[in-house]
Amino acid sequence: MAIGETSAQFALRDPDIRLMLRVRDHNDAQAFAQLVERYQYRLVAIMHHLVGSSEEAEDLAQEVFLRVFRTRHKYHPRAKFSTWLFTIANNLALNHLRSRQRRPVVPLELSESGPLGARPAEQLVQDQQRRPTELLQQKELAAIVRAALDELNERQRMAVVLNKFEDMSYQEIAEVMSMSVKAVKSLLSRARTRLREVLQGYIYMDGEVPAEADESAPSPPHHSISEESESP
Amino acid sequence: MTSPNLPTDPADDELSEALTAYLDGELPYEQQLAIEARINSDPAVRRELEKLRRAWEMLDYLPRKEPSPDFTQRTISQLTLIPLSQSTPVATRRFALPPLIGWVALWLVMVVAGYGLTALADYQLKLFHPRLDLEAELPSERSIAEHLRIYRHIDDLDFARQLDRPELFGDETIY
Repeated sequence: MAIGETSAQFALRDPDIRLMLRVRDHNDAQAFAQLVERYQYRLVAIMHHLVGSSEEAEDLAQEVFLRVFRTRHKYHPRAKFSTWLFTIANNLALNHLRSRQRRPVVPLELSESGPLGARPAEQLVQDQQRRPTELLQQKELAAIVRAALDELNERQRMAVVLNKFEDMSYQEIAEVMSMSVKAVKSLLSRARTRLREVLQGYIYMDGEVPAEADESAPSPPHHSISEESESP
Repeated sequence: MTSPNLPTDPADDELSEALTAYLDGELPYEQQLAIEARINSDPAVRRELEKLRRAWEMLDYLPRKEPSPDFTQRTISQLTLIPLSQSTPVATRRFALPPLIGWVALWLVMVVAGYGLTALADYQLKLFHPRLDLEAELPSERSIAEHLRIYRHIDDLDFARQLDRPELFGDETIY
């Protein structure tokens, strides 16, 4: 957020702020529904990455929206609307993860034998086009990465999800998580180092379809890391 | 270009932070140049950078969950459960008085309250100290003083009242 920018300037630039101001000043349910429509995909996806359960993710996302409505009178457009929304999401998710840590639950998703839950139509089409071996590999990898993400503490996980899936800058993450930029930098570094350690044995599986002849091989084909550096 | 400030061990926290920030494009230009020089000159650092990058890319295997088709409808339906009292501040704000009118109203209230308090104090003063009601007693006191010379020669007040008849002595009253 630039210093000296007024609420009016933010409201003019951000259509979501205008919607939120209608919710705040006129209890406009239609404007609120529009905000839910706009942000439900991002919020549910983030919550799912954080908690790993579809049902919990939807419940949490819904609670975020309801909290937005309950606290609408406290809303002042000082930054992007999404920053305020994700700040609420951060607080709710961290509280949820901490309380869940005290009473651990067994995730039912991502198991090969169990239901995978609702998936978007486009993903189902992609799945149908893939060969069973590739699909199995994708699911295995997803389960492995899920387990690696669960190795991180709540704050590391939140920072990773915001950075990776919301493409937030360190500054934006700092605002959402009420931390300094320096602390975010350190948090993300430790998280990425931890992910690299946990995924060490799978780093060479880059998702390429293994050849039919290699199907019986005990482990997926490895691709050695090139010594050539690759700039981001 | 050398990078004297960077540690030599790739597992070092400071170097890890620099590599992560470099991958995220969050390094200032000078530090970016320094880490690039380091990456180009040190195979171990280059290897560490690549591992970090590939581990990060593996997060793309996570399935992206989409909300249920009725998510918005279910969320909106929950709004009815929020107490109506939480909706009132909007109405209050809409009909709130402008600041100037508010100040004038406050001044009027203070004037009325001040007048009321004064009247109440006056009433209590009269109630508990009746002799201090000088304003009410003054005319009769003055009348007594003016006719004191006459009163000195009268023993009976009723007799004096009988004398106070215009048909006997004209319009002049005794008291």
